[in-house]
Amino acid sequence: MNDDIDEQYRQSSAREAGEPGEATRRRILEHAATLAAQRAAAGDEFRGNSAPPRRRLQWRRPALFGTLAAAAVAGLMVVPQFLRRDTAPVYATVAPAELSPATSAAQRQSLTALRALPQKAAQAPAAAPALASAGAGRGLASAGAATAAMARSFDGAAVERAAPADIDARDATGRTALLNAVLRGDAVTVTSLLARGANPDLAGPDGLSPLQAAVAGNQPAIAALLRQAGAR
Amino acid sequence: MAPMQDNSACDEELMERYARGDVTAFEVLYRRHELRVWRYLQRETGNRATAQDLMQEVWFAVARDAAHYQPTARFTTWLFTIAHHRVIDSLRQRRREVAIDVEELAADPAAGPLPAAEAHDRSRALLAAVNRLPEDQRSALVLQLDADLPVDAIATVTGCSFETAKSRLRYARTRLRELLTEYA
Repeated sequence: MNDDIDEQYRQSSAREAGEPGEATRRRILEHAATLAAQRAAAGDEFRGNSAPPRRRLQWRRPALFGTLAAAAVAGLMVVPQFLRRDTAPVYATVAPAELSPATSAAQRQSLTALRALPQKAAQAPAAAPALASAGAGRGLASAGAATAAMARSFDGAAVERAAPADIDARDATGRTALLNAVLRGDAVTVTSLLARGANPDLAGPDGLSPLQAAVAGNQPAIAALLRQAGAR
Repeated sequence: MAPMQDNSACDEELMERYARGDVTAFEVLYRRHELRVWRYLQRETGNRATAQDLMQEVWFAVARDAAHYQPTARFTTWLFTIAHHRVIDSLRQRRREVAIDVEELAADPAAGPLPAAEAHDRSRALLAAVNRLPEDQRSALVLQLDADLPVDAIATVTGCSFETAKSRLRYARTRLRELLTEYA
């Protein structure tokens, strides 16, 4: 019985269903041929040839991670240099044409020479303007750890608490609060100290005045503040 | 259509060849299974235009996914799984026209269990009876008779167990006999 029905059904279904038609058949086969051609053209070489690209990817992954890691390390090395510029001034190199003793010292990035400048009394008054004109907009070179050490000792909050009589007091290194603020590149504290009557000409024990330090450190805004306060 | 080559190659081998870019392998494969898929779609949808749309969708999918086809499964099982899902999606959007017609006729007391016009044509009566089967039973029966799938493949395609597929086939034939008895 089942066999009869099954066979009758098969014959009936085949007779009624007919065929999908030549147009449908042609579209399907053309589509399959197009896909094959596209894959071949794209180099997406189907399953049989797709393994090599995967292996190449396995090579690329470690290389990618290595590149990212190197970039991260480089970033960790470079970023602190920029951060240091905010907290500690750097000394400018100046043009060879302006080879006064002060500019020459700055060009050589010689902190010792800069410190020695004010001790040469005759050169000191002329050195500041020379540095001021030479330092602005020129290339910078970091004075490194020595500069950072020079700027480390000042507590900005203490400015607000300082009595007028203490405003020009020197710390253990012999520097005033104003000089430390200039060396640190802290314009806010410089403004505050000057408003409280700090003396803008008091140099450190090495003879470096606040204005000289500002110019040498390429701090034009701080240099302008000092000049407005009568610094020489 | 041009004569095909390598008709002796198995389906899985033809798929692999097409996956490597041999278009003629796809043509052999298509010709081999064209009518089985077509009849299945035609029977399940009951509409020639819908069946033609689905026919394209099914074979487009085969061509598109050829690179990912794994010969661990029978090609026909994979092929009719695609077809079955396309049919389900289509039926969700539109009721089968033949089924609606039959239901309307059945609702007419004067029409009898089968359309009067079919009383003179046992062949059409048989097809109408198949259309009146519950959907699960009809799918199982059509997959077996039109697509020539074995029971385990029917179970895979329709997402049921082997025993369930076998039961559906048994119930389908029982109901078919009842309907044809009413006709007779």
